[in-house]
Amino acid sequence: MPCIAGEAGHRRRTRTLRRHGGVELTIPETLLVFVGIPAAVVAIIYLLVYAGSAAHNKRYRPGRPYNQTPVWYVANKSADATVSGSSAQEIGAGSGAHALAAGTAADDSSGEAGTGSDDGAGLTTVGYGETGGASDSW
Amino acid sequence: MIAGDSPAAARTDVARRDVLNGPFTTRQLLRLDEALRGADESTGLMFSVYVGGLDDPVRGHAEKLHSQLSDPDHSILVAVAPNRRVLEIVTGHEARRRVPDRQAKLAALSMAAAFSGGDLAGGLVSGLAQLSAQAGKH
Repeated sequence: MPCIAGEAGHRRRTRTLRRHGGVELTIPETLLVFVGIPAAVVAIIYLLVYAGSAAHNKRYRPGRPYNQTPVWYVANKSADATVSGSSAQEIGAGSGAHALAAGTAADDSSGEAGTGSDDGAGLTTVGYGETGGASDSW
Repeated sequence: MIAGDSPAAARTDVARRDVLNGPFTTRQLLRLDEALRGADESTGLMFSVYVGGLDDPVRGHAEKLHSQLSDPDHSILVAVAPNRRVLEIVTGHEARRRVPDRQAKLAALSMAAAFSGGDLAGGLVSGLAQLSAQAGKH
């Protein structure tokens, strides 16, 4: 008996709801609307924020580890950092400078032109006192 | 000759990729390139910028890099090791007459100040400007 009364009451409530433009949601639908949609919105905003900063993580910050490829730039084509030596290979140097020079200074004749001329030359380490300069740290 | 050209081309490709993997954005690379070329043209010296790891002893490593340039006597190398937070300015025998160590130290100080704020490219550009202004006085 109470069951039937409950059933009738439920039906009446539903009718009243419908008359006022309401809809009846099942539990999965409720979850979807009140949990799923907010979660999706949060996820989208999170992605937007962190995708933006991931593109800028090249930036150097003091105290944070720095793991970028070593680069070595020179300006003109005559300035050949010799790339024959193993040390030059391991730092990926010299040729990087050519890429910069060739990429941005199109009027220069090819940056690689002089590379062959002084292979193996000038790899002597200078003695103490022949060079000057300064050091600093931060 | 053709056999000699193709490894060079491959190396340039690798170098291009390395440069883009480096610590600088395209805009910063353009500024750096402009600063390097301006410094070279206005002074007749050869400026070079290295950003990467430096082994112990740091000064010795920087001098070794400097000696690998095509004309070390007329070259000024700015070597920056962001991980160790040190920078070295190495001036060659002739370049040292144009840029005394005291002036190099001044440029190093201003670069270190920029680097401690996380601005690698800006520090390099202003340091190069300072060095070339000093060298241009003679």
